[in-house]
Amino acid sequence: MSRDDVRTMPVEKALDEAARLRASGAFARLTTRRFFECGFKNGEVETLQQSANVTLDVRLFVDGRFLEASTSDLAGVPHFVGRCIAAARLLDPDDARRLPDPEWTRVAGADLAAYDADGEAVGRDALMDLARRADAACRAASADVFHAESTLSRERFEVKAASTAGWSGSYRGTSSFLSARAYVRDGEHKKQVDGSVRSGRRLADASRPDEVGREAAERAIRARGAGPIPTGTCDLVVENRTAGWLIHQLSGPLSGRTLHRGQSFLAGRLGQPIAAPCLTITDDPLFRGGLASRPFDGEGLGCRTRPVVEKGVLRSFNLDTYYGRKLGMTPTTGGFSNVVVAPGTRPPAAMAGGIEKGLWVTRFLGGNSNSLTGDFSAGVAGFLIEKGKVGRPVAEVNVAGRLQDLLLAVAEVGDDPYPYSSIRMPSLLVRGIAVSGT
Amino acid sequence: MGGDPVSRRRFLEEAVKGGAVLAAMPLVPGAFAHAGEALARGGPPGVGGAVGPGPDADTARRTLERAMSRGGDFADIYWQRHTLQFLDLEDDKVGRAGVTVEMGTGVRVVKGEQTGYAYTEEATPEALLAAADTAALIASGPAGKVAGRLVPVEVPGRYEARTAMTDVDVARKLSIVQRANAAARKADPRVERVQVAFQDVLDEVAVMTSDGRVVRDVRPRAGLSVNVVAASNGRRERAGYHRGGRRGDEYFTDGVVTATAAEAVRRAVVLFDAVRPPAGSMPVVLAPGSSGILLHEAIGHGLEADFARKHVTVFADRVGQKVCSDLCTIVDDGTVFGDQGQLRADDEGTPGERTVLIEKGVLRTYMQDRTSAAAMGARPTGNGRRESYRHIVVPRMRTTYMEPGPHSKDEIVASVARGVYAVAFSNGQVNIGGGDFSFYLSLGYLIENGKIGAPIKDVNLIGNGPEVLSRVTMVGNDVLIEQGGFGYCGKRGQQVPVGFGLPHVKVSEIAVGGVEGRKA
Repeated sequence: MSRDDVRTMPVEKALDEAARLRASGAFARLTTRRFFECGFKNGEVETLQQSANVTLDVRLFVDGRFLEASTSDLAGVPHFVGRCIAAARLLDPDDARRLPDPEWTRVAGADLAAYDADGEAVGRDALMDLARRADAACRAASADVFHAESTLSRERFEVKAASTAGWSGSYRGTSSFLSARAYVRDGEHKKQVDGSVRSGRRLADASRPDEVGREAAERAIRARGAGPIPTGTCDLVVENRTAGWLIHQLSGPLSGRTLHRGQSFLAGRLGQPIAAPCLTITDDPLFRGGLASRPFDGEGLGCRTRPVVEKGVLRSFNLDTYYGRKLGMTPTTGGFSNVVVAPGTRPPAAMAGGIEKGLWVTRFLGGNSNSLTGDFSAGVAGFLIEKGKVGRPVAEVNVAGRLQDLLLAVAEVGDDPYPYSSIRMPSLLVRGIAVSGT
Repeated sequence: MGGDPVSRRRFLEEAVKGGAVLAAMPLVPGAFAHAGEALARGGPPGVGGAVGPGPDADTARRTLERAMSRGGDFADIYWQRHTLQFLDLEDDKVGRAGVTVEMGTGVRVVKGEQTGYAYTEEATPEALLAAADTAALIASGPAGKVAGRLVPVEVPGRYEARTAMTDVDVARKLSIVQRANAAARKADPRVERVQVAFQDVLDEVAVMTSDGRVVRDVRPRAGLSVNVVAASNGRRERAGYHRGGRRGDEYFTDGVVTATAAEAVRRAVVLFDAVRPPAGSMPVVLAPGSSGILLHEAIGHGLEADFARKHVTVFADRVGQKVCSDLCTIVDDGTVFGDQGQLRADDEGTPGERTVLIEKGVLRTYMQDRTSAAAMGARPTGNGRRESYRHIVVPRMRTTYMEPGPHSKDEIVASVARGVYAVAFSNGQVNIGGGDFSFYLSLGYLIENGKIGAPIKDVNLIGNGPEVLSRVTMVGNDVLIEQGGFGYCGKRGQQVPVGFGLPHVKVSEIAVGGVEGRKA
C-alpha cells in the first residue's frame, strides 16, 4: 500500500463495509496529523518531539441504532467496522439516529486561510531557534527570572471525510504555537509564574520570540507579593486572555445534549434577552485564519457563520443532528468553532479608570458552574483596582454568583479581542460580583 | 471462569492468547483477538509469541541501539494498545455506544534532563527505526550502551479485575446500565431524567529499556456513572455519582449498581433544601472520599519531581523540613487494590509502590520518574506516567491519601461553631509556584453550633497549599479511598486516571467562595 492509499483508502473501506453489512448509514473521517515540538529550559533543549498520527472515526447508523468508533490501526478496517456494526445491532433503536439531512451538509466554499505553505517550508533548526530565543528573552528581561521555559510547536493536519449518502469533503490546515513561562522568587518559598503565548495558523503568527519571552517575565514579576483581599462585592475587569472562561461556562448550557437532558438554564430562552446589550457572540467557523476554522464539522454538517447572542438576545444553540431532531430544531453544529465576541471601543485600562474599588482579573484558578441552576464559583488572581488605578497583586480570592446575573452584569466590552485562541474575546468590565477572600 | 481467582500470570496469558476464552462477543472489535491477527499478518513487530505483543526482541534491540547511536543516558520503547468502550443511556434507551482502539509504539532517548521522543502507529521495523532516529536527535556524541539481551521482569501484584469488562459480552453491560436506570427511576418520584454511562478501558503496555528490561502490564478499568435531574415544586436540581476503578465484571453486582443509582438520586434531591453558600474564611471539615482532592491540589502536584528538580514548586528544596501540620502523613500509592490509581508498574517499568511523601508533617520524598530521579540523585518511585504512546513521560500521582489520625468524626464536627462540612468535589486546580489552589464543592452542608445543618452546593474553596495544610487541626480515625471510576488528572495536556482518599479532616480556616457575605 502506498502512503497515499493509507491516507485515502480507510474512509472508502469503512463505508464499503458498512454498506455491505446493510448499515442504514455511515460517516467516516480520516484525520492525519504531523507535529513537531521543541522545548527549551534555561538555555538548553529540554524536549524534542516529532511524529505523525492517523485517526479514523466512523459513525455507524444501523436501523436506528448508533455507534461511534475510532481507531489508529488502519490495517484491519473492514473487520473493525464489521464488529462495530454487530455490536450496534444490540442497542436500542431511536428514529433520530440517522445521517444528517442532505441540506444540512452543504459546504460553503469560503477560503479559510488555514494552511501556511510558507511556514511548512521552514526547517527544524529555525523552529528550534524560535523556542531558544523566547527562553533567552525571558531570562534577559530580568535577573529575577531564575527559571524560564519555552515551547514551539507546529502541526499540519488533513481531514478527509465521506458518507454513504454520497457526501464527501476535505480540508487541511496548519497551526503554530510559541509560549514562554517565567518563574521569579516571591519570599522564602513562594514563586510567581506567568506566561505568554503567540499562535495562529501561520508560523509567522508565532514568530515573535522576544515579545513572548519579555511579556512572560514582566507578568511574573508584577505578580510578586500577591495575596487575598477582604470578602465583599466589587467590579471586575477580566483580561482578554482569560475572559474566554465565560464561553467555556456557556458551552454546556448552550449544547443540545444539555438542553434535551433538562439540564440547561437557557432552555426556552431563544429570542429573549439573556445578556447585557453590549454582548454579541458569533460562532464563526469560516473566520479567515481562525484556529478553529473548518468547512464542515465532526459529523459532516456544513459550517455557517451564526449569531449565538446578538446584543444580549439569545439567537441559537449548539445543536448536533441528533439533539437538533430531538428538540425539533434545525441542527447548527455540536460545539463551538471560532467564538468571535464583538469588541467595544475602549482599552481595558480605560474601563478600569472608572472603577472605585475592583479587581483586575489575569487568570481563573479552578472553579466550575452548574448548567442547570447557573450557579458558578471560581478562583481568580490579578490586581486590586483602587480609584481607577491598577494596584497591588491579588491571589487566593474567589468570585461567585449565577451565570444568568453575570451575563447581565457585563457593563462594557473592550477593544482588544484576544487573537491567540479560537475564542476571540475582548476584555470585559463586569459590575457587582461577590468576591470572597479574608 | 467460575469463582476461582485467576492468577495475574494466567490473566495475562489469556489476554495475549486471544478470544478463545470469551463466552460471547464483547462489544470491542477484537481487543484481544487483534494480537492474533497481527501475528497472522506476520512480520515484526507483531507478536513475540509467549513473550507478549509489541515489538519482538530483535526489533526492539535494534531500535534501542539506533536510539542510543548518538549517545544518551538511556533509551526505552513504549508499546501500547488502548481499547475503550462506552454505552450511554438516556430517555430509558441505550441509543449510543462507542469504541476506540489505538495502538502505537514510542521511542525515547534521555540525556540528563533532556528528552527526545518520537512514536509510530505503523507496526513495521522500518517505522520504529525511523522513530529511533528522531528521538536520537536530542544527543550528539558517541553511541551509548545497550544491554546484550532483553530480559522480562516480573512485577508483583495484580489488579482486582478477574474478568476485564473489555472482555465481557455487551448484553451484560446493557443489563448493568438498564438496572442502574431502573433503580434511579424507582428511588424517588421526583426523579425526572436519568442518564447512565458505562465505560471500560484496557491498556496493554510493554516497556523495553536500553538497560535490558522488559516490563509488561495489562491494566483494566471500568466505571459506572449515573446522573439525574430531579424536580420538585418547580425547582430542578442535578447530581451524579459513580463507582469503578481497576475492577472487572465481578465488581458490578446488582447491589453496587443499585447503590450507585440510589446515591446519585440522594445527592440530587438533597439539593432542594440547599441554601446560599457562605463567603469568606471559615473552618471546613472534609468528609472522606473525593475530598482527597485537597491533597491532590494543595500538596500533591507541588511534590512532583519535575517541578522539584527545577526548583519551581513552593515545596522545592524542602526534604526533611516540616511543611504542614504534624497530624498529616500523606502517601502516594501505586498498590491500592482496585483503585483507579493502582499501577503494578509505571510507564517506565518501575514497579508500583507505597511512597510516603509527608511523615507527621515532614517532607520525605518527591514523586519521581527516572529523569528527575537521576537529576536529583534520588530513587524512581513509580510515578513516571503518560496518557498514551502519543505522550512523553511526566511525574504523576497515582492514589494519594492521608493516613488516619486520632479524632472521631463526631468530635471533629462538634468542634466547629460555624463552618462547612464538605462531601463531594468535582474538580480543582493549583498554581505550582505560589501554592494557591482551589477545589469545587458540588455537595456540602453548613455546620452550625457543632451540628450538620442545611446543604450547600456549587461553591469553590480556595487557599494556599502550605498554609492550608498547616491549619489541619484534626484528623479522623477513618480513611475512605474514593470508589469512583472517573477520577482523572490533567497535566501538560495529558489525562491519567488517579485516585483520592482522605479521613475526616478539619482545616481551621479556608476561603469559601460563596455569595452570602457573613464572616464566621
